[in-house]
Amino acid sequence: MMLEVVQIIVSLLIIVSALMVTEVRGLVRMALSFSIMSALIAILFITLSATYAGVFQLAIYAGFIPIIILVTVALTRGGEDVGD
Amino acid sequence: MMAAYIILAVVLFMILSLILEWVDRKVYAHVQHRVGPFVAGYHGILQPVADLLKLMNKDEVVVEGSDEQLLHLMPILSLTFVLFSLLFVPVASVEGLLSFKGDLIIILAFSVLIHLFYIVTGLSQRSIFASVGAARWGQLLISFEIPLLISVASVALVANSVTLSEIVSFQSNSFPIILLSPLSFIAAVFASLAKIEKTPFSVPDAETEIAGGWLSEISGRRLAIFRIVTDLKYLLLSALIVTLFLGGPLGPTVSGIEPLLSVFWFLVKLVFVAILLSYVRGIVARYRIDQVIRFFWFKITPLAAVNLIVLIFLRMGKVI
Amino acid sequence: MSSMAELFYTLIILFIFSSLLYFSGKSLKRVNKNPFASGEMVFPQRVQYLLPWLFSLIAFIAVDATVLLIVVSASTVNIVTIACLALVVLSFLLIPWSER
Repeated sequence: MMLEVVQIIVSLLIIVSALMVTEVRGLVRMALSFSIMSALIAILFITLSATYAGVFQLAIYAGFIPIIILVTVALTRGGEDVGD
Repeated sequence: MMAAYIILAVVLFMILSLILEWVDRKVYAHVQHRVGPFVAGYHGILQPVADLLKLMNKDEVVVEGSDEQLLHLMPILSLTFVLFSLLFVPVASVEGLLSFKGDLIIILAFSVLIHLFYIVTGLSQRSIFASVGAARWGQLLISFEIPLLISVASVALVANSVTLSEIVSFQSNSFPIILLSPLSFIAAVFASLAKIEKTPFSVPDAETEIAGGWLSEISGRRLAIFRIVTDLKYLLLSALIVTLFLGGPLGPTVSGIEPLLSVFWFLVKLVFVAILLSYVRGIVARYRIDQVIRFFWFKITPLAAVNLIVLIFLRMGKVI
Repeated sequence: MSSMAELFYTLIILFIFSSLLYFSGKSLKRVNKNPFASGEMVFPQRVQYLLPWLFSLIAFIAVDATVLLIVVSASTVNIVTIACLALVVLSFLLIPWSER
């Protein structure tokens, strides 16, 4: 019973954070909310007793993919208004 | 009750990390024929604490246009995750304060998350130095993460497990894993040096080129927290190398005072690895970023991969 | 073995601890109008990057997933693991290292 409540809450949070990925302004915050969504999915996997799948999700999708997105953003952001 | 244990362990780890920073600075200074910190306390042992208190009491300067909420959140989250991964390390017995099925991968995942927070810190400041520093963090990350993972994979292959307590108990039953994977040990040492951005690989915060890199606009308490995080990462990686390759808290024991002797052996090995890291840092000069990538991808990764492939064939031939 | 709830509880305690440590610092704030706190003016410029870079990002994910697969399936080395390793080595050879 307790586990089901946790799963429902986590699922709702996943939907909220997935919406945040599309709605939030700024690429940095977008990547961060993507990371939060992946971490929540990892928690859902672990509560479904698929420990290794959850840990894998945490390592690849919450850790590396946002870093790849951010690095690509940082590398290809052209001559922006950094000055005044 | 659990909470009291956790807070106690966290405070002890912080004190230990500050002492390790002192050891690092002393060794680095002695390699260069300097005396290093000498004023505060016995041979300057309180110097890291003094630096920390000074930074905590400074004003913080915020550049207009930077994302302030993220800059508040990132130091807190980095400190949380580095402390959380430290609690898995076995110190006083075979098992750490926390343990979980597959906790080695959890530690690696959280250490990657800390680098994600670093990159976000660099990109949320409105400064070209900081964005260049963040981009360099990404480049450094994809160069050193693979050798680290391969060396961890060879340890997991030998010990037949990805749980730290099982790896330690495997080593207590047979032998330290460094005997079967010496090349992975070398790869892990270099990857750890890159992970704590010490001198040969300190490209993200190169003071002479990009004025501090991702930390260039960070000041006051934020800088203090990031310094503690760097020290704790130094402690975490040294402790991880000790646990994975050198047998962790194992050693000759006398029955009756096992926990005390475990802590003693752990500290001896920890200081040995920390001095090794500082010494390597002291005797080499800094690489350019493309040199770092070439070094890791063409020298260190094959070194670790050879070891892993040999171990795979040994495992298929039922030798180990 | 700790339970899932214990890990979560620890994470919350550590978050509270770190926020207390962070907010115990001095919070007097100065806002700098100049985009650089160091007072140095640098003209906006494009960050240089090499083309092999974008390939190496993809190769990185492949290698990473493979190595994590080896770590997770530590006990059962089989032909799949070796095939993955061979594919990764092949993908490294496809990166155009000489192009700029």
